[in-house]
Amino acid sequence: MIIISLLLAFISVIAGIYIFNAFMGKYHIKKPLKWIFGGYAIILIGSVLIYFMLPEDTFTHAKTYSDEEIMQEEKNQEELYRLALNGKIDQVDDKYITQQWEFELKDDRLVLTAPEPQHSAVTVLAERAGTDKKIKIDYYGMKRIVGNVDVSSKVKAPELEFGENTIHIRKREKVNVKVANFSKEFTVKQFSDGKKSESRMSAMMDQDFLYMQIPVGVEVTGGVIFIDE
Amino acid sequence: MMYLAEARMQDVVKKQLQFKLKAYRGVFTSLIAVQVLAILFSLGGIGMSGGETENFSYEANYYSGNIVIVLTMLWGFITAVLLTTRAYRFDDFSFVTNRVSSNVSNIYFLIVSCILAGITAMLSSFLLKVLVISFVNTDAFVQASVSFPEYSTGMIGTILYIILFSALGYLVGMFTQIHKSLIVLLPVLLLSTLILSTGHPELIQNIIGFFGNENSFLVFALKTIITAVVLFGASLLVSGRMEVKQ
Repeated sequence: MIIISLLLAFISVIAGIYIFNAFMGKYHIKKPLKWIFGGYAIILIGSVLIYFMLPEDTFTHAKTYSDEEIMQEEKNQEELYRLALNGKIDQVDDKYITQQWEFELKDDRLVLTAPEPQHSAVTVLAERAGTDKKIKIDYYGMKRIVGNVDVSSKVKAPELEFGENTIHIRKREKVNVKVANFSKEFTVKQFSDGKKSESRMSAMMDQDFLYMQIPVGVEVTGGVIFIDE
Repeated sequence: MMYLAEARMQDVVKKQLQFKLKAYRGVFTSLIAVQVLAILFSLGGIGMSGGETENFSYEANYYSGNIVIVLTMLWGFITAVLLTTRAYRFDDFSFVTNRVSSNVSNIYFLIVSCILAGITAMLSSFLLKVLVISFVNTDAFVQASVSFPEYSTGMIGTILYIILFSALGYLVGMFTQIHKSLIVLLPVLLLSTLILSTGHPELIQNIIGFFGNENSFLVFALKTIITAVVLFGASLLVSGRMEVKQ
């Protein structure tokens, strides 16, 4: 593949030079050459100036990750989900909770509705806790790392609609994230100290979940996974 | 034989270099053409990764001036080959010249051209970034931080790579001028080496690794300069085997 690419590049450079020279020769273009050189130099120097005058917020200042950090983060998030499913939510780092709600029931029934299929909304885990008819809901949002960059903030928590005894999880719009990553040129990277740390990995655990604490004795209807039953 | 004015070698070389810098403007315009073409290629990115789940999709595109640098290296190679062709060599007979002064002025010309090519290749990465920021729609632009010393070292490294390729091109060009059959034989030899080595790529990997895996800039500079000197020196020797006005 590399050989074919090199050959194609080689042929295109030869063809480019040949066609260009033939064109210049055919039309006896000589005088404008000075302008071509000057114009190209001005464009290049101009682009350097423009680049350094770009507003500071042009480039993202989000946290960037190395390969090792991304792999570790993926492991952490798998572990997080496993802990939650095994009823050990207290061992999960609170930093993953990105939104919290509290809701009071009118009676001993709770109806949870979500668009079909429910996984297009979010997984709902629940445990029994307390008797005061108050429901606590935590949203655990996983990290999304695209091309080294943490883009988790692009993914919002699901919207919940509360009725008297109902909670409706609204369908989330699909989030599309595009990242442009300016890498170092290989001649710069070759002599840079941190050349090994530049990564091209992405990670996206799509295992966000809502964790509900539902009072004992409340009858629940809907797609809820009770971890303690 | 007596002359009224003894032409000193360095004056002849200097005059020829000045002449070549003016006369071979096509070399520089083709450089611009190649770099503009490379910038256009680079706008599509040098790599991408993407993925999708039910609620989330992502696309990461990677941009860099690598294509510009590689195509400029090829430009250096082809330019050096072209300089050895009959049409270019005969230009030197307008001056009081010998084969050594003609070759030395060619080598100086190539070095000057390669320095310009290396500088413009590295500067064009800024043009690429400005174009991507202006025309590519993304959620985030991420820039690998490059310090000024890092960038300067990279620029000199680029220049050395281009000089290395042009030295190789000059030697190849000289060989093809010695015997026309080498015009066919050398590419065949190169291609067959590449094809035969696909199963055993150690030879090519070793050659690329000799320069490309060198992290110490000083050692890299020494390697490239010595190799270029050897290649240019070999070209001078090969050139000595040519007939007058061959």
